[in-house]
Amino acid sequence: MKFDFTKVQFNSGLMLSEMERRGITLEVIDGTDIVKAMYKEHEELLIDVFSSVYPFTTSWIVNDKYLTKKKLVELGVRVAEGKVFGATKVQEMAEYAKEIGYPVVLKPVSGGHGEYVFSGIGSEDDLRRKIELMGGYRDGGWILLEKHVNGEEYRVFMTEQGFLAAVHRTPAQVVGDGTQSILNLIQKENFLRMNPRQNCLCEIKLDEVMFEFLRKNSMSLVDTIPENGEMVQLRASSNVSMGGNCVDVTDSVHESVRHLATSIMKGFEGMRYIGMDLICEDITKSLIQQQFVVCELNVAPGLSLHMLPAEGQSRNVAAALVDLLYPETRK
Amino acid sequence: MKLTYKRISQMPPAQQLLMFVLMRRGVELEVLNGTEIIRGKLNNIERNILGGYTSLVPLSVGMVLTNKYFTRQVLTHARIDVAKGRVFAPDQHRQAGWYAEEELSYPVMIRQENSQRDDKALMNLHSRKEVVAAYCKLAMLGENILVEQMVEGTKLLISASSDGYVGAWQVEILPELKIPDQTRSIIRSEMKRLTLLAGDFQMKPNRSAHLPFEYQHRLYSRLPECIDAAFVKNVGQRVLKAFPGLPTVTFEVIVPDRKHSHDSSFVVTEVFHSVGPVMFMQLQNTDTQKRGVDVLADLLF
Repeated sequence: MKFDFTKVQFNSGLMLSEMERRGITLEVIDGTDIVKAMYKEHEELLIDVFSSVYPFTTSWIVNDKYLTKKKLVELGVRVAEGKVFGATKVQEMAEYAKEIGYPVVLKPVSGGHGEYVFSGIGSEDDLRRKIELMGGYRDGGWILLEKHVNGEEYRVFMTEQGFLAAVHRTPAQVVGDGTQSILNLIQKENFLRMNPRQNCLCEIKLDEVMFEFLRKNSMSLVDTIPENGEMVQLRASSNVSMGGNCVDVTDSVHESVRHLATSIMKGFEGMRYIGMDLICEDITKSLIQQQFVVCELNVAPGLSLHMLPAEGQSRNVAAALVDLLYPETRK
Repeated sequence: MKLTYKRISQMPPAQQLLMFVLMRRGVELEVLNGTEIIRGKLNNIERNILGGYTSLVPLSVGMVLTNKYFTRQVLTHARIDVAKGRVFAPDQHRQAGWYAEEELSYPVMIRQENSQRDDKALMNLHSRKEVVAAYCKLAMLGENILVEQMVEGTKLLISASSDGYVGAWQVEILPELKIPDQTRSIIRSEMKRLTLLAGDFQMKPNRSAHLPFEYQHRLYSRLPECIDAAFVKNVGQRVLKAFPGLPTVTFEVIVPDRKHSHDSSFVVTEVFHSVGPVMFMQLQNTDTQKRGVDVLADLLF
């Protein structure tokens, strides 16, 4: 029976179709989004792109931004200076921010897709307001406060077998036409992105983080009408799931980035692939000659970023993952 | 931070035993600062242990095992019987009551979808009214709730490993601890009184915040006559196979009272992660016998 790809999410669908292409039998377990994959005697359970390739306990560390940071420091990897606070410790956060110097970034310790991430916070008033907006973040209220690092944002995917893919990510933005409000421009852009969806770009999300970003830049979603050709940045973070853009840069990645990804992978128990968020000045140049930090690692890196970038060549990261999971099907 | 004896003494008994066995083997143990994660190092091998999980558990299987609904569905897919039941949202107490009344037969049990802690299971419910009342109590914790048929029969705890070891204990639920609405302080006072009885092993209960499996059950290493080694081996390997990549599995099964000698039916009621009562259990493969803790330690290092 043909596998029904409408039953699974976009990201896992990319991996599953690669598996099906290799003759791996797929079955959805009734009433769940768990997929059972079978190739001869080799069986696997898959949830999204989570598989047996990653140890459960390592995922707990990687899903915790602070633990990851500590581990990276232990490995000698550069990370942004930062500390964890309970969401109610506003005064302590303000004092720490003063100590490390503004601008700073606030993010929940656990969580993904750039949700509740506020970057470029420039003053104590601004910091207090952002903490309030985080609303004692649901995850037991733990917040990571970090020094803001300027630079370009990249997502680097690599496997232990040496496959590498990288994209340059930029924050969501719209281009004005002199007649429409920012809200209308976003709605128009979202419609174009989704009808039909042709690449990894997601809808530009309207949330508190965006409203706050626009407010800070003296703009309003409804009242501001950007001039013809004017580029309006909508948030500071570049997450694609929040509407950010991404361009493949794999061919120009400097060898030092590959070394960095390899050494991190070796440092985390059982990690056989890495989805690394890197901020640096220029990924084509040696990391030794520039400022850079590793922001976070991802247990379930988005495959579509690399396979269907908005610009540039498609990289088959799904095949690289299936090579790890079912090496016997590798060609 | 080095793992201290004080810290070990605060762990549940099964984890304590694993820590001591690893230390005896020369494994360096440390706690990852500010967390519950224990990191073991021996030569070039590094392993993380977190609660009942070790780094031998694959991510996708670990995600399945932390959710009772997922676990039931995976077992069903592997053609292994589970108790009849259904998951309801926290606000669906009425639907849960009617489901118990119309679809199940009493007694019924309810438990949280995402917990392996037995203090979050309420058993022996005999009417719709009792189900709804118990449901409302558990629903306050805000998680989905599983409403299940209680199965009559001989209860066994079986453990199996990927290298062929299997073992089983008979389980008896201690009647003193059946009362569903007892407070934690009562549970703790009970814990002082109870001891684990398993083969030759005896241990005094610790004062952990919740009640570990060992203190709610009495475990017998001698099995009833109707359960033979071949049955245990078959059941153990079938359940292990349902979770590909998992090196060891421990689970509870009910073997219904047999009507025919060839009847080999069983119902799986719970699947545990690897560190648990099995640590104390004697497991057997074709020619050797080992404690569960040694089987796991061999797999880890």
